[in-house]
Amino acid sequence: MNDYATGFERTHKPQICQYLSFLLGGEEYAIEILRVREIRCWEGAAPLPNAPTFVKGMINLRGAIVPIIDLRARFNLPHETYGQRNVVIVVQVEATDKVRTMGVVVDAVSEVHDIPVEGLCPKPDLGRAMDSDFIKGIATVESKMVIVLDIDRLLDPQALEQTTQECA
Amino acid sequence: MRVRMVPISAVFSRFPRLVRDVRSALGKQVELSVIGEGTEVDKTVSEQLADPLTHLVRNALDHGLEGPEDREAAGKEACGRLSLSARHEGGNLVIEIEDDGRGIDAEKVLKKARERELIGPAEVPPPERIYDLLFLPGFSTAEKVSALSGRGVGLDVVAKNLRCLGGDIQTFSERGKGTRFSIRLPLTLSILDAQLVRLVEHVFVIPVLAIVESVLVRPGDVGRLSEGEEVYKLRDRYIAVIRASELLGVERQPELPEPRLMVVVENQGQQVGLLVDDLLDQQQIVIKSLETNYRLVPGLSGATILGDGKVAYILDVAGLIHLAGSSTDTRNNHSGRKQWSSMTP
Repeated sequence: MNDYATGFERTHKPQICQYLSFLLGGEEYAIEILRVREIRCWEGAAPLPNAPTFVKGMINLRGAIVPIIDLRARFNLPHETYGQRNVVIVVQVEATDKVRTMGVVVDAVSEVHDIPVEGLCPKPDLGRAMDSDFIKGIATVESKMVIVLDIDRLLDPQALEQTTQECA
Repeated sequence: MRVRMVPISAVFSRFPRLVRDVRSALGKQVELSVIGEGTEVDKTVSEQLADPLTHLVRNALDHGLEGPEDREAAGKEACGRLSLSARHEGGNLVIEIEDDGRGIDAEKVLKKARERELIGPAEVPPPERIYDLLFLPGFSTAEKVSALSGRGVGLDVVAKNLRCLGGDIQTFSERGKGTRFSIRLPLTLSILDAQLVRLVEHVFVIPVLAIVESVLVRPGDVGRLSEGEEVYKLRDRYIAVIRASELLGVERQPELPEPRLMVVVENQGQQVGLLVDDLLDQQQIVIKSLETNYRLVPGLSGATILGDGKVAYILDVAGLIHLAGSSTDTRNNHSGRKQWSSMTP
């Protein structure tokens, strides 16, 4: 987003990224807003056979078949039935081979935060076995903790594949 | 919508002319027959098919078919036959180019491959792999370079072009009898005649082309060989029964009645029965790839969007048979069963 800034601004303003934050299981998570394509109501998805638990299924997004990822299952949070109050954030996931469109179900969309690059604290490393590479860092916004996610790592089909194998 | 299907005749239509030109240039007699011109193919695929197919046809005319004298000496009709065919098979487009010429000399292919150091001197590939050597870069068995072919840039380019389209090519040949190139391409975007079926409350799609018949199964008609292996007596023979909903991990409430309808499907000569809960409409659907935004899913060849906007998955008969085979194996090993029931409700 700083692409439009002049050279002067680029050198003198701190690098700020905008993030869309959403709520899930009482925590606030944030993803880069430029990756967000749209926000929709949760209207159910066609369950995909033999899929890992965190793949809720596929939806018809104006003619495109888009997979919906259940972040509760991805984060190993307790399962909850989704209803009309839930929303789907449709995001663009960039992998090495191509760009995919995927959706994530969350409890609610919260707000848009401006987070400077230096405002991102690295997540404490506890040497946990579970992959939490998808956490880019933790930011503090108005004294609240916001977990900033790396959407490419979170929804990388290869990483998803590995998680499936671990579950199986 | 990106519905851009064209009949393959758009590609095939150039070959009668090509064959006629080549026939007069080489002094050979050739009769060309074209089968399945109406088979629909994605426009982009059809555009990219023209070059590889032309190449294979030229090859068949130049190297495959003999001149009239040679043919008569071999006890064949003076007029050679070349056939081009296209059809849909199990979610794939299959194009075959067949001639009744002299066939490919497997010995010569091996010798040449060793000369060119494409394989080791002592290496003997299995018979069905020998012809694959033809598609390696820098391979040409033609002793002479002719106006048509034999310049060394050849079949490897054909194979590369086909791989770009996600397809592959197989070669079948018999000395003195002829050669058949079989090209298999995935139907990335195309239209399919579909039979909609219901598994519990979900709608799935079976390609009509794969269906042989549908039968009503009476309780007791299905015999159990072992855990997870069931057979049905279809007239004078036994076919394997696949419980589609179980195999795909669709949750079935125990109070639901057993599925009573069996769709007999065929894949490469093998028939199996898929137990389904209901047969719904037959309609044409547009195939959408699951790989675009996700990845390949075993047992499914894609998805489609039904008239009501809902997503339905297209069953891949070959994949299901494979899946059924491997799930029987894992069951026999008393492990991995969970794998097949991990399904989101």
